[in-house]
Amino acid sequence: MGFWEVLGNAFALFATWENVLFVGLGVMIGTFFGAIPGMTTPMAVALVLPFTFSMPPVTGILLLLGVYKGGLYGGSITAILINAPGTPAASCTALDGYPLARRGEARRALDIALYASCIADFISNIALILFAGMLASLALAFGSPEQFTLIMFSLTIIAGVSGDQLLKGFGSAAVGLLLATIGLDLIYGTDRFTFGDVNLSAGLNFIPVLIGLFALPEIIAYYGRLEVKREQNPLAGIGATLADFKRCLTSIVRGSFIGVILGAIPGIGGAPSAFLSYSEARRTSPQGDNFGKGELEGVAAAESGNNGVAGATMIPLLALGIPGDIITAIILGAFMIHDLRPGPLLFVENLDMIYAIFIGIMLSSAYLLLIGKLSIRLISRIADVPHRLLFPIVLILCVYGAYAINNTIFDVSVMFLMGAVGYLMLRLDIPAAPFLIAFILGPLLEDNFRQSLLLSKGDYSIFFSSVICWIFWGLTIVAVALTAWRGLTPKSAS
Amino acid sequence: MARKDLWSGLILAGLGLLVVFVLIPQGVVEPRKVKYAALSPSYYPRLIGIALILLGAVVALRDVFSPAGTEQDPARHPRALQRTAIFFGLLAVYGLAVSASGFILPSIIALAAALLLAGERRIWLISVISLVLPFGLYFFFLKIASIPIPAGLLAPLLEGI
Repeated sequence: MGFWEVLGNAFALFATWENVLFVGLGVMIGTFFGAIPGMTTPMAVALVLPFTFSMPPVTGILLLLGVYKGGLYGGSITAILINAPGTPAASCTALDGYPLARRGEARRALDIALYASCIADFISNIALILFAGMLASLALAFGSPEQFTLIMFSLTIIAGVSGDQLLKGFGSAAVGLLLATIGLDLIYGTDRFTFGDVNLSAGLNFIPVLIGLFALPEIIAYYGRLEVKREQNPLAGIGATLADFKRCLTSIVRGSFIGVILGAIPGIGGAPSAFLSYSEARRTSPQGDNFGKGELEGVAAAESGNNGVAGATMIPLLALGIPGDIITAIILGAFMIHDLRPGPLLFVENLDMIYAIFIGIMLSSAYLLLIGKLSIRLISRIADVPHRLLFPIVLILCVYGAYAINNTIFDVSVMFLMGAVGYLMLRLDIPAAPFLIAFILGPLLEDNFRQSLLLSKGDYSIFFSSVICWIFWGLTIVAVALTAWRGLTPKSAS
Repeated sequence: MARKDLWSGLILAGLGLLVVFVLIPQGVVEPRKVKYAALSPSYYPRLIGIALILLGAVVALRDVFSPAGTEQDPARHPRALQRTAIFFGLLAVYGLAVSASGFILPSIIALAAALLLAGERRIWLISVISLVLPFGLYFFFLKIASIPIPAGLLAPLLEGI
């Protein structure tokens, strides 16, 4: 069959009202679930999965992909509005999104988050369609040493988000790395800091830690502050303008490509991509010093990095049959339920179906823009609710949400404890963002570090054994040098 | 809070000392034989612990040798300490009550108390929010997300709904 014939068959396979409807429904469900603290995107995809059993394969898979894409954007809504990120990647969006919402510019932040999400999603889908084979082989070149150097490079953002509290930022990151070591040791299977408690065997779940560290300290601190009348901000209630969009476009495109490349590597996920994109935007932006204080470009960079992985995570799944994260593992299950086995053979035996899915994926980007745009006007009003009402409500949402992740009270206790830790950090001016970045990237760093040494029989030269390693070491050195140079340069000169 | 850097440094260094000298010996189970030192389960946490001690010491010492500044927060509530302490107490009681008697009843009481403490004085609004939100979330998670939230004392009343 020629290309045009396959494409014609794919259109015929896709062009049913069920497919068109269910992609949109999936995006809507994903956005809704993603916007609820405690409801994660994998949870939403897993909930929808049973409904796809009786559907035709293309319809079922498109419904799940719609939920996935909607969920990625939905996670940014709570991160921006109430500082309660639903996913580790969305926590990067909260760094600038929440300060913007506090200034009354929630709608502007949500708008840019949506545009960044849609563009990144679109670029990621194009990459999936055009470069699936090539990116899959590049992704396979990423072994443990390469992943270790990549994470090392991602961690250089810690210096960037620490502001003028660099040493405290490093201390905060060290505490995050330490907390990430709780649980069973990956290589020997022995206990680390579990003290016999089975709840700690799998380590601390990141959602209660995120909610505790970001949302609760704000609520606690509110009770020690006077109810301040909001400043009259001319941008309050106004959406993002074309000028805002143009200013953020470079960061959005760069973040999208970072997302595409990192998303194609199995096991990396959206968080490193979001942080790396944010880090690069901060380093190159003329507004770099404003990052972390409510910079629109920061929201754009984080969201594009996060959403750029959406299509790319499908590359190793479709081309090699390797699920890159929990969501693609669930989607792999959906393929198998319909007697389809992702991998090279799928492109030979079911090419028309693959193309039909690609068409649906492209449509999902348009749905995301439409559904997001329709909901923002309503959703952004949440930020206008008086704090004396909003904060107690958020507290209850956080408690239910923390429980719902694993159905365990233990997670609620972790959230409260992290809230107290976060409040102490707030009072002592210890930045919380480095803690969070280190906590999320820490397990990846340690696992790849030790696995590399296991492979090399203790020889550290494995971390310099490939071109990819050298590239990331080089980038890390440049990033550290630039940060040091910025730190030494007087503010007036910069 | 005065001398923030001193306190930060002391806490970070103290945590590092606790990790290296108490938590690792007590909480990390070492396998009988480890091929290379870097593969030991305690290698990485020890490295972080030592880094914490050094960082904490530098942060604290920098504060000791620099003049202490005094800063006043103009937005600070006149009864900030009292209000914050009450809220911490509320969180502690709420956390304990949730484990003992389910989510709904403690959430209703905690939400009403938090709203009152925050300065909301409209009793009808407090009542509506405090009742609707905990019940609404309970039914949302149960019926839509299929996640049973413990209803505790109210479980017999909600059975079958």
